[in-house]
Parts: sequence; C-alpha cells; structure tokens
Amino acid sequence: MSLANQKKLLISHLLRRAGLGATRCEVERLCQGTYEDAVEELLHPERNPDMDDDLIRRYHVDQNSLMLIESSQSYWLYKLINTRRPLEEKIALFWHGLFSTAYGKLNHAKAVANQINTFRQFGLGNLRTILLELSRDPAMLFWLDNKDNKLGTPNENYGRELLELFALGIGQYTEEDVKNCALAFTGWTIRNAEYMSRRAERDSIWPYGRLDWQFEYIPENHDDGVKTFLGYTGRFNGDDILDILCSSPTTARFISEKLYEYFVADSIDQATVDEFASEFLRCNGDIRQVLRTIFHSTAFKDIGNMRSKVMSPIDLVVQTCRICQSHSFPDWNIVLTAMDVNFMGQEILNPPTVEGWHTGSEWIETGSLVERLNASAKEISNKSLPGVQEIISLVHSHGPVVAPMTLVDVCLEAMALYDMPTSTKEMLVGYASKWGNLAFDREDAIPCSEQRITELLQMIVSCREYQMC
Amino acid sequence: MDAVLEYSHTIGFLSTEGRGFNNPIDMCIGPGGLLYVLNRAGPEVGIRLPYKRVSVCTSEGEYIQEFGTGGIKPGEFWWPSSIDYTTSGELVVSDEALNRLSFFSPEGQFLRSFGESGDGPGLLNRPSYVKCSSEGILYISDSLNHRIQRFTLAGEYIDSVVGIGELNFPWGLDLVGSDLLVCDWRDDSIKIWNQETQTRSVITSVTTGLFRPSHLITTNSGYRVISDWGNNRVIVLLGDEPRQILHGEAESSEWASEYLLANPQEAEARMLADLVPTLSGRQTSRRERSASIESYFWGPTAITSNKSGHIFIVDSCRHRLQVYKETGAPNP
Repeated sequence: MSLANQKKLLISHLLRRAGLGATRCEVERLCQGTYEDAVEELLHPERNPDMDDDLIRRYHVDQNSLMLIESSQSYWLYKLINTRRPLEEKIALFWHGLFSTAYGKLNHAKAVANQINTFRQFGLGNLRTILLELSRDPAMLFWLDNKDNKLGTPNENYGRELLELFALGIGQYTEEDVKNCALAFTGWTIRNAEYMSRRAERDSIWPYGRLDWQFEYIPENHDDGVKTFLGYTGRFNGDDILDILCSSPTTARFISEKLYEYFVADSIDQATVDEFASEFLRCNGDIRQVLRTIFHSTAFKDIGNMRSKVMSPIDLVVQTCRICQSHSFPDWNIVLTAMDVNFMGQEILNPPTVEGWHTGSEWIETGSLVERLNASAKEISNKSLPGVQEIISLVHSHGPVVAPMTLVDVCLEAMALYDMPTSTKEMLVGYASKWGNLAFDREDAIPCSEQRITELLQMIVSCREYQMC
Repeated sequence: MDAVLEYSHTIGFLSTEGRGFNNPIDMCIGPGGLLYVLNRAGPEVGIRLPYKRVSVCTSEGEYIQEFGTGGIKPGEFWWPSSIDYTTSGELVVSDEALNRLSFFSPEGQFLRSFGESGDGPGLLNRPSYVKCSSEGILYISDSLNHRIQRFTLAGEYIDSVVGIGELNFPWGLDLVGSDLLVCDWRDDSIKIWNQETQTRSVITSVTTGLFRPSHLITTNSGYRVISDWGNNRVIVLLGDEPRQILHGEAESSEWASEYLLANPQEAEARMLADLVPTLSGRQTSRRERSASIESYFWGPTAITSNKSGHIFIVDSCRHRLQVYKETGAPNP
C-alpha cells in the first residue's frame, strides 16, 4: 500500500473511532495535513464552530423544550450528524455509556440531555472535574437516589456505583468505603426535591411542561463526622472523596481500561492499559492528554485492531447519515431515524441499566442485525439525498461506460472504505458484474445505471466491514 | 419608564386533547372574539399526530371546542405553522411540511386548500406565516425561499413582494396601513416596506438586542410588540426605541388551577417549592433560564391583540397564552 493510502487508512480509522464515522471529504481534507494535525483537530473541538441549532428548535418546536424522549433523542441525533466537533460528541457518548443515566426512571428527558451537555462541556477535561460535575448533576442525583441521601438516613446507591461502576471497579474497595463514601455525599441533592420527586413519580407534565432541575447542597443534611475512605481519614465531604479517587492508581487503571475498550479494542491488552494509566497519573487525569496518548499509541494504529469492533447502533446510523448527508437541515423524519437506533438496541438517553449497554459483539443478535442492514440499506439507496447523489455523480464522472471493477472501487473510495479485504471486494465485483458495464451514454440507460449503483451501495453497507469500525 | 403593557392573566394548560394546548405556535381572533389556537405538537409519530389541532376558547379562557388532526390528507396538519381569520370569514392555516394553505369554517369544517412545493413563483417552501390583509390578500412568509409572496384567497398567485437576498428565513409579519413589517428571523431584525412609497427601513438588533424575532404586532396606540424568540422575551418598541421588556409572569390559569385542585398532594408540594430558583452556570443563559422558571416565556412564537386591548402572547414551550393589557398610551 502506498504511503498516501496508508495515511488515508489511518485517518479514516481515527475518524471512525474518535469521530462519528469517516466520509471521503473529511478524510481527504485531513490528509492534507499530518496524522498529528488530525488528532489535534479532534482533541480541540473548540477550534471548530459549534452547531447553530436555532433552526432545529424553530422548525421542531418540541425540540426546543425537549420534554419528550423522542424529541431529545432526535435533537442529539441532529448534533451527532451535523457537528463539526466529532470528538466532543463521541466523548459525550463515551461518558453516557459509562455513567449511564436513563430517562426511564427520571421521566425527564431534558434532565438527561442536560447531563449530555455537561459531558460535552467537560468531557475532555480533568477527570476530577468530570466526576464533580457528575456528582452535582441533577439527573444523576435523581437516578442514583442521592437526592435522598441525608444525615441520619443515608442512601448508599450513588456512593456504591461511584466506586463500582464509575471509578474503581468491583473488588477494589470495602463495604466500609461504600458507607463512608455515601456519608460524604450526604446533603448533595436537587432543589425542590419533594415537588420534583412527586412530579417524576407521577410522570406529571402539568400544568406547563417539565421544569429543569438544579443542584443544591444542604449543609444541615450533611454528615460532617470523621470518615475513613480507602485508607484516608478525615471529615470528608464529596469533593474530598473525588480527590482521593482521582489520585488513585486504581482509578487511573479503571478509566484507562474503559477508554481502551471504547477507542482501541474489545479485548484488553494489560501492558498498553498500564501505559495509558501511567500517562493518566502523570497528567493528573487530563482526559484530552490521555486520549492523545491513545491515538498515537501502537495499539491504536495496529492494523489488527482496525475494523475489529462492532459499531454501536448510534455510530452506524450516524456514519450512514453523514455519508448520505441526511438530516443536514431540519426535517420531520429525523424521529424515524432516531427510532431506527432504538430498534437496533441502543436507546440513547435511556440505557437499560446503570451498567449501560453491553457492547462489542453483543450489539449483534438476530433482530438487531436485520434492523442494522435494513436501515443502512434504506438510507444509502435514497437517491434524493445529496451524499448519494454525489456518489452517483462520482461514478458517472468515470466516463460513459463504467466497468464493474471501477464501479466497486469508486463506491468504496466514496465511502472511505480503503481497506476492504480482497474476498469481500471480489464478492462485490461479482455482484456488480452480473449485468455487465454501467452505461451513461444513453439517456434511457441512466436510470437503470443509477439504480445499479444504489444496489451496490446497499450491498456495501450490508458487508461485515461496513458494520465494523 | 412607564409600563406599556401590564400582565392580565394566563390561558392554557398542557393537554394533548380537549381543553388545553400542546406546543401552540400561533393564534388568531375569530368571529365573536373567539381565540383560535394552533397546536404544532410533535414529534411526528403516529400516536402523537392527533395532538396537532386547533383549540377554540374565549379570551377569558372558557373552552369551546377543538378541530383538526395530524396527517397528510386534505384538512390534516403535519407542521402547522400559522393561522389567520380571513376577510371572507374563513380560517386559513399554513403548513410548512406540506407546503399548503388549508381553509376551514369557523366551526372547523375543512373547505379547501392550495399550495405546491418548490422555489418558483407561486411555489412554497416552508410557509411559516400567513396574514390576510384587509383587502383579502394573503401575505405568506415563504421561509426557505426567503421571500414574502402574495396570493388571493382563492389561491391564485399575485406576486412576490420581497425577494431573495433581502430576507433570511423570514417568520412572522404584520400589515399596518401600507407598511409590511417582517420578522427577518436569521438577520435578527425587523424589515419594513412601505408598499405605496416603495421605501424601506429596518429595526436592527443594535438598539433592540433582538435575537431571532418570530412575530410582531402594532398596537392601537402605535407600539410595536415583538416576540423576541431567541431571547425568550417580548420587547415593546416605540418606533425603534425599546420601551419595555417582558420576561413573562404567568400564573396558574383557571385550567391549571383546576388540575392542581384535583391533585392536592402535587399541589401541596408545589406550594412549598421555590418556582423562581436562583440559577447558575449554563442555566442562566437566555436560552436555558426559561426551562427552570415556569412563569417566564419559553419560545414565544406569536402575538395577537383583540379589540379590547388585550395582547395574547403564544408561549409555545409552556403550552399557554400569557395575556397582557395595554395601559393606554399616546398614539405617536
């Protein structure tokens, strides 16, 4: 493979893992610079403009208030498809999967959407800040019952999950640590907790829709006693617990392992995780710096790790929409696309449990696979979409008669699929050869040729390689 | 500075059927002073389509009836955007997904429709607003074609009074004498065309702070009342000088009070709650604060006045109308 093609391959891999899918235009643009430049652009989303979402909120009045789960999912989908800050959204998806908070219990979609905003704002920053914002996040306070965690009547739910699922991992702490962690977070609640709880219990949207929640610290509900946590003793409040957690090598390893699984490969390579954990400790938990290390690591660039992960439903749908340039302007059927993601097994903003989604090969089961293929095929064969029109034009530009091999090459290139295995490519060429060359030299042949292009595109999105990243 | 408008009362309650509104986007005054409130609702999934409807009530909040439903058949709504009462005694509703204008009797019977998608003369692309002039001419804010087009009530195309390059996603409009006033939504301004003298003027965001204005009216006393959608507020101008800024002060409407009476435990918890909490961080932004403070406007989309000087502000994300009364002021 030529150096130029190697670069394309690497940058497309980077965009699939650290971004929201690779498109030909993005790959070609980033290939004008170095791989390092591409990494830095992703790591600094603030260098690109934020999406102007006023148009979305104007035409989708329901997405202005985000009262309903479908509206909130659709709104996030717009951002994922149209953002020029892909890693900002990707890291929000990462934290959403790790710190899973679900609409199902809250009955308040905007509260979860607000949490996602927090992940956008702080997700590439310091872990301590992220955990502090998470601990003060009203949706989390509600989800894991910390709003009810008071002096004299502690509720250990948040304290336990903070240690088990968010920072240390099971087996890395004692029951006493859980109890004292919970006591440290007593008094951390939401404002108007009783009224908001009653509304949530009854799923009350009356009289005038949902009200945003706010964090509130009530000192008289805080247990100010001496606590021992992970070997440290003091009159700890929640902030102190986070200090201890974030300086712990166990946390460094835990977060590094989660980042490895999300960005590098499903099966852990302990030596590489240890390298990431060392960097985590060296930079005091700066996630941007840890990601920089990851994206430059041998493991990340290893050809064996490319196309080794099953794309999550949201990644798959967003990648397809970006290639097709679907939903680049507000249109009512965004909600149907959001529902496709749900049918594939990933209800964003509503993960199944506090553990989030089971990822990797578990994304694939009989029903979800059919859904993945059907939804992708439907989108890529829609000739009214600008991205599909571009691919057709690209094929057309190769002359009045296009041979099957050329057709396959052009389509794969147009979809930034630079590493299709020979066997798959042969299968595609075999399929494309069934009806011979494509003809654009006669007006009456053009519709048929365009139809054959979209049929080939459908075959491509149904390939294993397209569904992997 | 003396107040031009004083809060009067609130009409509405979130309801997906019957008495109540669901994301109201526009309203008009019909025969007998009745209020016809157009509910956009959404998203467009089967179960929620019936929420798209016209609700009819009095200016004091007595519920009369509703009509219409979501769908694409004649007389149904997909993205209903605006409603007006025409000089021929019909109601006209614009739909910015179906690119058509549908006519109804005041009782809600579907009469006819017109409209075709496209960007040529007489074609529509997301008609966001419709207003019937006193001469019976429909002025249509053709938002994605960035122009204002005129049609007869029979649906015959007349002309395009303002064309491409002059407007940027226009929304609401008003007709005052020979003046055509347009909320040039993406330009954060109000464009004024005098159709007799062919002169033009503009109210910019510089003096007013306008951000994505959605609609405006001119009161009997000559004040301009603008729903400053992007700022979640209403601004009152005399000429182009700000005279009053309203953030909203809704109280429980009669319908809301009845709900709370029927749900005493929720009402009790509500009584004890601080409904005007101190905000911090992102929640203080002009976009977000209304999500926390219930009495504030949240996405005010349209304004209408009636003969008795009431100003009705359509508070789309709070599913209600906030009603103000003009205090009486000099006619400049």
